[in-house]
Amino acid sequence: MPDTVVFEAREILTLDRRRLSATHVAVRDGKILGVGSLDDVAGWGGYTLDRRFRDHILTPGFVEGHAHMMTGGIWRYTYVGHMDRTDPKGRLWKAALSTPELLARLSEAQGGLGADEPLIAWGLDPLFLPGDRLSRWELDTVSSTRPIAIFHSNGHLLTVNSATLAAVGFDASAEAKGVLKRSDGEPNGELQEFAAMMPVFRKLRIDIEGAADRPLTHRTYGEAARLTGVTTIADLGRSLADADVDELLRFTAADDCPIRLATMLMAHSRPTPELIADALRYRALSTDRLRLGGVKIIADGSIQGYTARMRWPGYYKGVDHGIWNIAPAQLDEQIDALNAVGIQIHVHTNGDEATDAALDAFEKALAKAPHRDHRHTLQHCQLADKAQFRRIKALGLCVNLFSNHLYYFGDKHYELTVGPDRAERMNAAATALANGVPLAIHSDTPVTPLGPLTTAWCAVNRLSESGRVLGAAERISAQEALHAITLGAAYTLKMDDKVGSIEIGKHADFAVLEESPLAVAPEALKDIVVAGTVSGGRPMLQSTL
Amino acid sequence: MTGPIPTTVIGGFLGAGKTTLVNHLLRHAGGRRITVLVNDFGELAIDQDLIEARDGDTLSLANGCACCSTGGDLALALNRMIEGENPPDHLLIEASGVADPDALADFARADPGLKLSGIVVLMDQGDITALLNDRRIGAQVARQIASADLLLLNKSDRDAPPGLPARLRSLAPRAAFLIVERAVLPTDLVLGDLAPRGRWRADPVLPRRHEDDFVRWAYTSDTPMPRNKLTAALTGLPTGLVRLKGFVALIDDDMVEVQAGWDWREIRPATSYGTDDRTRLVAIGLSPSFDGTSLDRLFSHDC
Ligand SMILES: [Zn+2]
Repeated sequence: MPDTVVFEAREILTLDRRRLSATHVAVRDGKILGVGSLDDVAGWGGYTLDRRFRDHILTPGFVEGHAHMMTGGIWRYTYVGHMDRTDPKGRLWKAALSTPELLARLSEAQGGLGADEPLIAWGLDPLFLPGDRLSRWELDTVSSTRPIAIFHSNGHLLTVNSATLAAVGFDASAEAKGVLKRSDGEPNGELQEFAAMMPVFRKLRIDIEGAADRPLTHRTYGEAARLTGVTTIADLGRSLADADVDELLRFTAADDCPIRLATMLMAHSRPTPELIADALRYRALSTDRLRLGGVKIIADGSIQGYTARMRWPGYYKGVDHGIWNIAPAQLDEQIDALNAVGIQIHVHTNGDEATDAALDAFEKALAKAPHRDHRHTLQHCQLADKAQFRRIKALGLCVNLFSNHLYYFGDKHYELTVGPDRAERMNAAATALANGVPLAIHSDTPVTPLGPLTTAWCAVNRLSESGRVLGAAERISAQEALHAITLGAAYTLKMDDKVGSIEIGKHADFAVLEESPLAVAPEALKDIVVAGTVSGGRPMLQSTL
Repeated sequence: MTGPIPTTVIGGFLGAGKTTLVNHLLRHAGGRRITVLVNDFGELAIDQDLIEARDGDTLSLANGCACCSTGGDLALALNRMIEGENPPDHLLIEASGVADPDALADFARADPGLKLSGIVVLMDQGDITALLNDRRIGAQVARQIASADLLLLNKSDRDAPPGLPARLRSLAPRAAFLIVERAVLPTDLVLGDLAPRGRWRADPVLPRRHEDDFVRWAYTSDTPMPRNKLTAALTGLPTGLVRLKGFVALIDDDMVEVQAGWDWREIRPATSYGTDDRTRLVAIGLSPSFDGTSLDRLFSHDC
């Protein structure tokens, strides 16, 4: 007879309306055999009662529907941001709140490096460091010989020391626009945008995506997920080759793999005919732990970078640099071609004009090939207004809103990018639900930190970093937010039949929490301690419970 | 390691003929090993017979060079190319239809392993006006045009709308401007040093059907030349001249570097002419007004 384990918990939040709250869940073959009281689940025969969670809350394992594998690469480098963060090994990295603190952090990290190793750090935001803007000359006090390079949190800037400038040959004669200079013409150590940063990537062998050691990157990604209660996570946009797919299959098949992965193919990685052929071919390779076959298209840029495509009246303050990453006419063609053969499409649209373009494209494509259960999804969709949500509903699209923006960039949006009116309707989760639009919310890690409870907190409280409430009318309840970070996100990944709730037949994927998200005060949601996860029935915990 | 790899960016909106040009350049590489970097594989249409193999983001081209996307592995790909055993003679960056060519040119401006030769932007005569007038895409297309060192207008069946040349000129006042058919033009013109900007005449020349319409001229002489003779020769250059450059040995004077385009001439002290102190000039132009014999006559001086 197969082994059955019955987990007892202080409370099990099932997200199954038949029985929203339970105390016991029986697990066999990695799947849920029964949920209820011990009596309810005992009838399946012999079992082992596992009471390690008797003081804990179990929820469905969280589902992060928009995240990037780069999260698995970045922690090999030293974190120097202005907020505390926890790495995938569970180590807390304290915030660096002043330039001296940051320099001390770098000096400390230097101690662990070999003589020839460059010192790479990330997470810098100079606006949060009082005093003069950090430059090469401060970094030279850490080392004048070892190359140092620090990524800014926005990903578009590097600050480097003199040794790095020398290594790449940047001096007063450097012509590239991105090599920023002091008034006397000397580079000040700030390198802006990819082109100017690339020589540093090359010379210092910086591998921010962890491309050189995929197995390690995958494991780190899994750990980052597990630490935050995530059991299913997207890998939203890769230019996969067959060898990459093999590596993903190997990783997810390992006994200790803590996650299910939904990896999507980046549309610009191939000409459309090849894209279609590969998406269908990869889809057929999907397993219980790896879902393949979706395609991600990037329509515009970002709001904070002023590169999102905005409708009238455009940006509030600052210059509009709106760009299409795919021309609207080409978006029409690509969505039409993919939809025609039943490939699921996720489109990144930040600005409301880009959202319009995607809606137009879906409307035309779906009129020709009306797949009833397409689950095409608008990713970010940050500035959609009510009329757009009504169209989204009419077309049967899902949205995955970027709720973390409200906290991490909300003040900037209110004061600079879009102004008060639209900042208050950004990531309009309540409007989505009021219109019956399937809703997920996300972190886009590493753009903002991974952590579905924090994302839920953002959607429930809508507080900016300075404490401003951004549109109280768009707040959703804790129950709705919990749905969005479990079943809601699973639905957008077409995995809601297998994960997202605690019901018979589904995978035994749980988040193990110290407190119930439905019992704590809304403002405390993000402070709930995650003790670990259960994945396919296997407890994967922070410490020995 | 040899010097930095000369890099040309090829931009222009969808359907402008970028890939036609890239294929043309690969076919007429003239012995050069060319690597093509593509920033959007979605539009990739390198001729199948030029592609030997494909591995994820990287294609092998029949002339032995790689073709790779600017994905996250760009640093690795550039390292392989620049620091590898067999760096190419020339790098072509094929921009996507919506990319800003100038931003891609910055890769070459910034990287010590690369050297920007210039930005070529293509347009299609049939749709460029509609694109420029498009509410959503117009500004992005205008930015592409403004970044050009060399603007190529692909001729189509329809006539160019009146006012188009003037409009393009106002968008890119410092670019050279050629009307071409099916992106046919000499490889050395496209891959040559298109800079310095601001020296090319921004007037269209006649549409050209064939590569044969371009005439090349080369000249070498052991005899130094008087400065006034050189000035006179440059003044008398034929109207079909597209580009002339080289070194001229002057009597009682230092070696000078000479460059010329349709309506500009430049003479400056030569800084890097190597050990060869002879007069050496090359030029390219359009027949019939440009011909080698008349150039020979201009520069020869039996005094
Ligand atoms: Zn993303």
